[in-house]
Amino acid sequence: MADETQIEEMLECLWMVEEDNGKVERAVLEDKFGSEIADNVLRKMVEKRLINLHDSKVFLTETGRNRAKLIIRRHRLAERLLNDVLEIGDDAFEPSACQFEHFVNEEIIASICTLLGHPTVCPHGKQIPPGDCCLSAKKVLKPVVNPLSELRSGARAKIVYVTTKSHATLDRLSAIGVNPGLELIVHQKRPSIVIQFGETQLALDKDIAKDIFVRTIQS
Amino acid sequence: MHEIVEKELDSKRGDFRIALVGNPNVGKSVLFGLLTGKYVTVSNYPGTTVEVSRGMYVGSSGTIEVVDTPGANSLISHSEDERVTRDILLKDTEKKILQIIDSKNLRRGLLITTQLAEMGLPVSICLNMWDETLDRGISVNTDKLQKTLGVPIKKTIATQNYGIGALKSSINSVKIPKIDINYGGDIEEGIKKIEELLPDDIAVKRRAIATMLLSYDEAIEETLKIDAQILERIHKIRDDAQNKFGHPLSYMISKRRIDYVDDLLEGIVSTKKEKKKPGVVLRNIFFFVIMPLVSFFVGFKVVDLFLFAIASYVVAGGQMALILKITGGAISVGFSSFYLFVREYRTNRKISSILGSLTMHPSMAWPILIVVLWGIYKIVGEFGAGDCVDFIENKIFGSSLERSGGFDFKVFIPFTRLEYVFTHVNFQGINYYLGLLTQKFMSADNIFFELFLGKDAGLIQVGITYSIAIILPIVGFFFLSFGIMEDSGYLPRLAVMVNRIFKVIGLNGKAVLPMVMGLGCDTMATLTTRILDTKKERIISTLLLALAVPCSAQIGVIAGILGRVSGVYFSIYIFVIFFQMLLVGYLSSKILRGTGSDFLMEIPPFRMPKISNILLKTYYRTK
Repeated sequence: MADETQIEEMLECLWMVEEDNGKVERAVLEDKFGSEIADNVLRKMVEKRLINLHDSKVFLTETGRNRAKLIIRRHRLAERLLNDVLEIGDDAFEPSACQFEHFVNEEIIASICTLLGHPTVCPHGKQIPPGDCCLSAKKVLKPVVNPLSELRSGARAKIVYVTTKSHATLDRLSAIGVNPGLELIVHQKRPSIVIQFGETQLALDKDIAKDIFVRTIQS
Repeated sequence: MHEIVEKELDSKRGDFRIALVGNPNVGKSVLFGLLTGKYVTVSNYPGTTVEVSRGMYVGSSGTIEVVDTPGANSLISHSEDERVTRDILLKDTEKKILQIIDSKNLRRGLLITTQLAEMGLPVSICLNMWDETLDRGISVNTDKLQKTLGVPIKKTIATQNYGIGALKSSINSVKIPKIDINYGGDIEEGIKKIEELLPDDIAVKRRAIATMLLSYDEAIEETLKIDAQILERIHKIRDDAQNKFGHPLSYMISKRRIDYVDDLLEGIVSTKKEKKKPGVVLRNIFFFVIMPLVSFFVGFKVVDLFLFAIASYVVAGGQMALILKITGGAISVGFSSFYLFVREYRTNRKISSILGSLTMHPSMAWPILIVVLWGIYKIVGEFGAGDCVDFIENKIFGSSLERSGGFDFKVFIPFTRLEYVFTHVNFQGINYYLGLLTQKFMSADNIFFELFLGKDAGLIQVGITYSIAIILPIVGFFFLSFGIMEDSGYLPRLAVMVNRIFKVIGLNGKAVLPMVMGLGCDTMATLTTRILDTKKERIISTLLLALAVPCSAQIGVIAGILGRVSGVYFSIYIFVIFFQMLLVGYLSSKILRGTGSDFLMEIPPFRMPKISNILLKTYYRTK
């Protein structure tokens, strides 16, 4: 069983290095896990056809990639859950998320994903690989975190995160003060969405509003 | 010519400069006017100041030059306005900053203060719109804030000239705000590395430049003319720092600033739970008398205009039509009263903010818009282009050879057909007297008489008369009504409403300002397309202004022709223009390269417009 955990850690690491650099050097893994453990685990993984080794580079196979995807997904969803809903601070949630990823099953993770409103990025801004639940997006559970565009008018909410891809929009929003933690009221939804915070009323497009994720506050 | 102006400015240059800096729509231009006595266009619409104005005043410590800057939400440039403002701060060495903050939105103002502090600029803060802050039950502990920041802070109400004296004297004691933000290990390291690479001749602290460079602000690289090699190294440092974060660096930096400001404001700003009840009598009159009457009128008028549009005056005046109109009015009263009593009556919201919500309400705003447009048409098209033009053309100017017959100075008594004549003015028209005078020297057949005072093409008789008599009232009345819409805060709400339609033609709601202004004067409107964010939007809106939006002089002519025929033709005209605008806009948004921008706009509060400002603005615009 200890082996399985090690393999999962290794898959996770492979995914993340590949995400940042596009390729994985064996040396990187040896640095991180120690050369003996790395050799041992990598050999087992080749046996299980999770990876291929070419010279000094490591490649994930299709099976390996699928498994790594699930682990990453569990980890990052756990981060979101701990950070957004339980409001555990920046440094504290990371180790918990690391443990979390090894013992939750797919069914639980699908529920968490739905509960959080199928988030697309983790608190650090990295992509969360979508699962089946995100693709079908059946809202069996009522999500806690919603895009701003789905709130009804008059609702009071707190911004949890902003995922917009456009830097310019993100900068303009933060310059006006629309940042995570801001409490706002949806003033109206049509013809355009208007939100109110403090004494400022701000009109924005639906395209922007769907990238602002909020948690509703019962007043 | 240009150089001469520059020289004049230089020789008059004051002892030191003050730059007015602040968020959009906080009253910089009003204060500029109060300080220097110079008028710059003031309105209740963010982004009115598109160019930098300079002026002088003599203070206790000599002549002071004041610079009015366009509103900026941040000194990292996202728009042209912000860039202009930032560049002013970077260029001049000897200057003081007068930061103007809307005291209801202290948090957003202090976000700029953090950046001014980082630049190491001496600041004095002016908390403007103090009256509105009190009205909303917000209290600000200015003493504590002043102590924390270490800069002079003065409360003002610029539109009432309150606190201006104290503000002027505070300029002598400007200080660099005591704000020190730590952006955390990785960013701080990047800042330190970049600081070492920066050239020596920078007017502000290097730390500020370093954070701007880290925020991927490419405009500043251009402004500072940084050496290409050094720039490459700076980019490397920046990209290295960025790789450590999933979020953009600019976002991380501004988040730190906001967190800092939020901590700072703890215990300084508090909102009273029990807001001051607005006048009970006035409130009841508003709910039980004014609103039902207004909504009845709106419903009545909308049905009336509808009947007019599909048929003509004849049908719109019939008995059946009257019943329909009254029904329309009744439905409108029922609907709006229901809404008001359910949603607003028991809340403590101010009447102006209720009106503000109504004018952008999903369903009620449309009939209001129709009636507003009808009102503008009545004022500009009928009163301005009809009655005023007739009066000025026939009575004031008159004809060179015929007596105009004078006019009666009288008042109409409302709702009756009676009128009271004070006196008959026996004035025969300027041209008539000119004609009489000229006939002392020459006969009416003389070529010179024909040239200047001829009935069909005389320079004075036709040229001057028509340009003043026809253009002036139309343009004047248009800008008068435009000024009311602008200063009340109706225009931004209009932007909210038309945003979806404008999306189809590749623009967004913001473009409503140039488009509506185009109904007055297309040239001026083309200038205001500067407020749009991308080049593509500016091209499309200029194209539409030239092609589809009729200016007030054209409307005058069109109204003159269409007024005599049935309303069906009028609706055909409106439909054609509207359809043409949609079609051309849609096609050009597909053909032109570049991107549109997302709609993100602050809605200023609904206010009672100040008559004096509107008159002044109309005067400057028609001049």
